[in-house]
Amino acid sequence: MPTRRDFLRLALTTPLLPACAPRSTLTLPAAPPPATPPPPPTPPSAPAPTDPLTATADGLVALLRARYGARASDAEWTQVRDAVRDQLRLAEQLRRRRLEESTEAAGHYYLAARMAVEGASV
Amino acid sequence: MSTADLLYLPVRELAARIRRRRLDPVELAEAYLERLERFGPALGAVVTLTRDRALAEARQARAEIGAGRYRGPLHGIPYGAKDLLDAAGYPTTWGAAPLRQRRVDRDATAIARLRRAGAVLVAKLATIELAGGMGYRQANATFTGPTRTPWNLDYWAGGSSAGPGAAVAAALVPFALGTETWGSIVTPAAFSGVTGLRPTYGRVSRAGAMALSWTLDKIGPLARTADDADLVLRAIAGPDPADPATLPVPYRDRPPRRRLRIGVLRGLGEGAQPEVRRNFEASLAVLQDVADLVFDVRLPPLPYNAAATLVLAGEMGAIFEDFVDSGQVHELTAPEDRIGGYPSQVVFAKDYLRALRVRQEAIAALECWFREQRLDAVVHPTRPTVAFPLDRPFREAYRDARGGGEPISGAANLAGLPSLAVPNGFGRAGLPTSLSFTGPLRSEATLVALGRAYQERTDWHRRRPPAFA
Repeated sequence: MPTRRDFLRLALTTPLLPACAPRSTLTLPAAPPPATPPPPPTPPSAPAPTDPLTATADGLVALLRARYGARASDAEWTQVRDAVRDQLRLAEQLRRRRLEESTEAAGHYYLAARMAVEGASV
Repeated sequence: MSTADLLYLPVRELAARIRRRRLDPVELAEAYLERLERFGPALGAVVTLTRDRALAEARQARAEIGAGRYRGPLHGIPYGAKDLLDAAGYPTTWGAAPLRQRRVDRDATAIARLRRAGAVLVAKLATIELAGGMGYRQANATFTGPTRTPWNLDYWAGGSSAGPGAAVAAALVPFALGTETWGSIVTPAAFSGVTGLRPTYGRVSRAGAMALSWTLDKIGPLARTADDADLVLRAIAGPDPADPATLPVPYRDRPPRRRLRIGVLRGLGEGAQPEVRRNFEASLAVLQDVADLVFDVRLPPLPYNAAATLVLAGEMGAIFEDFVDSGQVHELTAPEDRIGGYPSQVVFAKDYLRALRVRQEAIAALECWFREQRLDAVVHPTRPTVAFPLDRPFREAYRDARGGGEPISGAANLAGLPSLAVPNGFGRAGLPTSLSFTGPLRSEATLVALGRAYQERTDWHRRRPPAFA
């Protein structure tokens, strides 16, 4: 298992913030919206369509209720559903950013080591 | 000098008296203990008095100083710690009713370092339950009841480091340790009218502290002055094998020897209460004396708050999984907190990882931004309003203030940037307002220099709440 010293050495030998990027790259264009197939024809008697985030939130809360259902009232599960939907909305906001390809995902140790190195170089 | 006059002195001045043996550490500890007992309940600021430990530590300080072994400016100085930092011999409840009996008989690293510096632990201070991670929406969110700001007992002291804010403001302790994941040091500093220093992420070990978010949590001081906060930070900062996130460098920094440049973020005054705006503008006039101000600067546009929210949710979900699973979450005090742990149990791993990647981008963008703009710090109101009233939910506190402006708190906490909050006047209901300096990573010495310069030119930090004067 890599040690803290290994992470620090990695940080010291890897130019993570070599130079400030041109400002234009800081405001990356939004990714194009995903191509979605046309919705199937809705029979006249079907319920109103639910937006995808609400549908996902409903599904996730159904999982929670299957495990913890008796602990909270219907009104409280509705509050949980709204909070889950907010969480999904924020995730959707991040999904619209196009991120550069990377070999790793900003781990905990790495972040600390990088901060130290960046600070020490000023 | 009256006892109250003495107890309101900054650490630096108490230390000078102790060093010259004009002030006895045992008598000082007893005086603060007496004040904690007398005023602590009315403020809802105290969870546990650590009397036996305090007197033992104070007697040891007395003996050492008497023998000529003075350890430094915290030797013999009493302090309090937010009740999510472990202290040997006492419960550490995290403010949560189901954890009232929780006890870890080992000091958190920050507490151990203060002990090594000769400081005297006199109290474990109130915190919002689980540091507010369950999404509390009103002040009554801890089993010790709401913590009141000493400036007006109908209003909240701020959270989640509520006890440290109120206790320092009312001179129940000369300084205290708080923690911040997202706003929990600077908010009580603002609402209680004291100085709060949120260090760079990794500056202070979190070993022995409750984890809310492994990559957002910070420990820092609340104190009477910027100078005092710096003294405390220098004692508790530094690498610690028990917290692998600690920076592998000590805190011995000094501010640059040149005139500093401070950015004033665009739009931060908009949406703030008129008194907050007025006091902020008056503060800028003072700061022009000590630094070059660059107006209307804007942070790189990134979804800081969304990323910080998802990082917090993802980590909190893992940290409190057992607490939620066991049903203990339903024993919390605030009704909203009893269900607030569920959403974090269904964060997609891909969403958490994307948030970490956005953070990587945010750290780089903000570091570059400070360099490109040649800014040592940015200045902004700490909060857009004064303290919230106790009798209603936060969202109904003030209908005439909507916040607004750049999302500096989310950005700074996401990227691990330090911030210093200092009192800068008063608003409605006799409540304090606050000014913050936020800087790049490891800029605490610069922020403290700015705070010190501001406090040399103003006296807001020397004002005392009338009911506790």
